[in-house]
Amino acid sequence: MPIEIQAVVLSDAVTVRDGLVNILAGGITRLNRKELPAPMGLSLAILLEVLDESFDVPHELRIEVVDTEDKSLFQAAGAIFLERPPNLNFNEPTILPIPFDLRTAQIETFGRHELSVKLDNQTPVIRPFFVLRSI
Amino acid sequence: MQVEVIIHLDLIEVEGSPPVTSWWADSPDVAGWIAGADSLADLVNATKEGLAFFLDRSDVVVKFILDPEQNAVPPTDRPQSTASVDGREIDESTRSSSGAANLQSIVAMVA
Repeated sequence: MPIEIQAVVLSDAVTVRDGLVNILAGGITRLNRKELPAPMGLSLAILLEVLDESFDVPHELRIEVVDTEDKSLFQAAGAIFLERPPNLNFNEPTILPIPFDLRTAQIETFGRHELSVKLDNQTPVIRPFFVLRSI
Repeated sequence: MQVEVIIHLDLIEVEGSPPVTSWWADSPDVAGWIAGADSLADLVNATKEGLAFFLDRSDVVVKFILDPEQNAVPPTDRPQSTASVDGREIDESTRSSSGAANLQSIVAMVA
């Protein structure tokens, strides 16, 4: 595939600088909340691998969070467009990190949730996480 | 012939359900031409085929631009990253090929 999702990481905080990603406390699969609704309080890091013919063409990215009853809690749609980097070497990979803020998205129920990230018409990447009642 | 095409993302309100995303494109170089699609991939294909047909030319090269008014990452001066190892300054601004490339993005919160 000319462009593909290499990683989707739920974390505390994500920043990108000079094309490099900083992920703080990545790999979250549990959210502990005393009461609901409550803010999700997460940041998302998406890493795309971009190959030759995918430069200079816009790509669609969709992010959705659904709860245990398949109710959509958060949906975003957007496009990314990366120009071919200057002086790109033959067979040199290009990794494009994309930070996404999910901190204020509201969760309403305890149980299994799913984050899905879909690139163009490809099969979505699913990251499940659980919202647990903290004592 | 190079043609500049601007990609736009709209949300269409639908009563009783979340808004639907809609992609459309126009061009400052081609008056009267417009294209729309439900997905960006379809819009890219429709743009390439539609412009060649509209202009009746086979040498059309499309230069895509995401709507600057919707750009989620406004262009800024890239910070110069430098560090020092054993007293020698090293340039850390070119450790990723994507860091040296121009990135545009647009985003819409659907729900």
